[in-house]
Amino acid sequence: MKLEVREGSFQYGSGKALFKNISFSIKEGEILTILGPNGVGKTTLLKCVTGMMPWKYGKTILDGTPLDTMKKTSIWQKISYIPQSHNVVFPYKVLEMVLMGRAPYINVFSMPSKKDIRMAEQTLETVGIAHLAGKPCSKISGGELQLVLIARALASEPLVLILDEPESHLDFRNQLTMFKLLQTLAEKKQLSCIINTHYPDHALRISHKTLMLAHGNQHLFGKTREVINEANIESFFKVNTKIVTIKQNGKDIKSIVALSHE
Amino acid sequence: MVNKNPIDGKHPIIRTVPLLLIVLPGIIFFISICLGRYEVCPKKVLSILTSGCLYPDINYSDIEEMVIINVRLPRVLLAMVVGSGLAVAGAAFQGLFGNPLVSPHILGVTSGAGFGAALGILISGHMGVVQFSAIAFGMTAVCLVYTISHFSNGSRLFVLVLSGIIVGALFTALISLVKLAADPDDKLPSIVFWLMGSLSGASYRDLILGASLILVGVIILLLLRWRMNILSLSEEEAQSLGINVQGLRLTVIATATLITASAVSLCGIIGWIGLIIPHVARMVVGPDHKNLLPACVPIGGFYLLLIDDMARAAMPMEIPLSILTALVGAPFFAYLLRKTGGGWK
Repeated sequence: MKLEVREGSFQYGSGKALFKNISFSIKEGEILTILGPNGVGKTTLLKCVTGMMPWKYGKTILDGTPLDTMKKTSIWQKISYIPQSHNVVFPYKVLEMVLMGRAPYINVFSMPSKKDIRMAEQTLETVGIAHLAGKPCSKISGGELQLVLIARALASEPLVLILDEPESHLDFRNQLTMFKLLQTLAEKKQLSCIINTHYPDHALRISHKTLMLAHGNQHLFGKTREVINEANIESFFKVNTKIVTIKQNGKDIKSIVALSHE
Repeated sequence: MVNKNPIDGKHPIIRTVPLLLIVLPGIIFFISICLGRYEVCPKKVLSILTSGCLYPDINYSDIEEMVIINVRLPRVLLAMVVGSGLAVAGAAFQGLFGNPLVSPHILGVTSGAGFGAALGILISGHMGVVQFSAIAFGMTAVCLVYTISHFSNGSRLFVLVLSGIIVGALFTALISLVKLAADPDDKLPSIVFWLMGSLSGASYRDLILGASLILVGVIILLLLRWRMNILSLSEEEAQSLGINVQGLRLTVIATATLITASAVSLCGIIGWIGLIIPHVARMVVGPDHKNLLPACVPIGGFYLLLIDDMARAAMPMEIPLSILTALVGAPFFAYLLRKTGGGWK
């Protein structure tokens, strides 16, 4: 499995280009992080990648097939997208919520089958929240809700999981839990993940590849270790940083410390 | 480990709920037929309803048979169909907008259909014309709302609600205009009473024409009920779950509009049912539309039937339905809110 974006460009209406000639690709089991300051169009980029918004130029290619030639339902059987804001209006039970992830497989006039319910229960166990199945989504914590949404995304058995700032609203520990889960999914299920994030630290910690965006159509794509360095962070985020390495149990843990910004 | 399946609900209380939802309206149905100015004893009613199969030794007069079969039965059936339809349409609209404060009137259907009916009464007064005009203008109002909302490319649902307010206001003004033009001795009272809602004069012709449209709409929405869950999420989430959001939305709006316009065309404007009943149903079976929409059918039917019983039996004259749905509905709703804290929170 390979997801590739070739020379993607996008602009709103006839306005200025938000981004131009972006190309990147990821293979199964890889995690790609997209970094960039506010308003640079990270969310829009994800929507273009999934086909929810049309590229102005360029295309997304999934296993050699351009996305715009595929049927919507078959796209969403392969790609799962978890948007940023989710306010739960109706307090569906966790299992009901996760079951909605089966929608790409369920006919318009049909109800979920026993098999669909079993799949939903399985994904709850994969994510480690089977005990929440009967709880209303309004009665669980923000961290648990994020896990529910990941379970819902996994219920459609995707090859690519796309998350828009999944760590926002999560506390320190929950952020780590979620990233650990994504790493496990990438390793064990050979899932490809594309993650929008504000934190270079998170990117450094979990991703194999990174795409950095900055205002004025600047972008940079490559291996995370090569892309995230002090010079690039300075130029993309306008923040002066120092990357420090801590040795812990023989492992190098890198962290980015902000020093100053103009 | 998931031992209990929280969707199929193994809990005994959950299993008795569907039974209750069938038995209770059945009882009310029978009581409603027995109820009325012209007294017919329950045994006779049973005998008439089963054309003598039950209690064959009881004799009944032609007048009694006519009262039961031609006056009360169509009225009771119509009340149930309209109540169910409005409740299901309300639940569908609430799901569609992801907002539990929405009622079927949100997109101006009622004002449009009300104007159509008023115009029909003004011009001809023939029931067929009134009904046709009500449905036509109800549909026109929603088409107008949909067209206006497409001028803007902002948040679709938000613009849709605003367009609904605009079109609703327009048709409310047009209703006033029709009232102004109507003859104050003859046409004006009938327009005013009609707009307040009444099931009096229900006939089998109404049932065949209008009620069948409502039934078709209810069946379509019931078939789509699981998808309503996904539609109630944010637009992006719904899209990313692989459903055709625009297509499904249009289908639900068109179907709920058909139901509401038909209801207005049959018995005038009846408020509150589409707002309250989905809440009551949600408190009974939970927010999953897979159970919610089916639950709205008996609860809505049962509620309007009860209201109509009050309308015809409480006072020597008929009380318009809108007055009763609000008088009974508002305190009941307040009580439920107090008891459950909203239930949908």
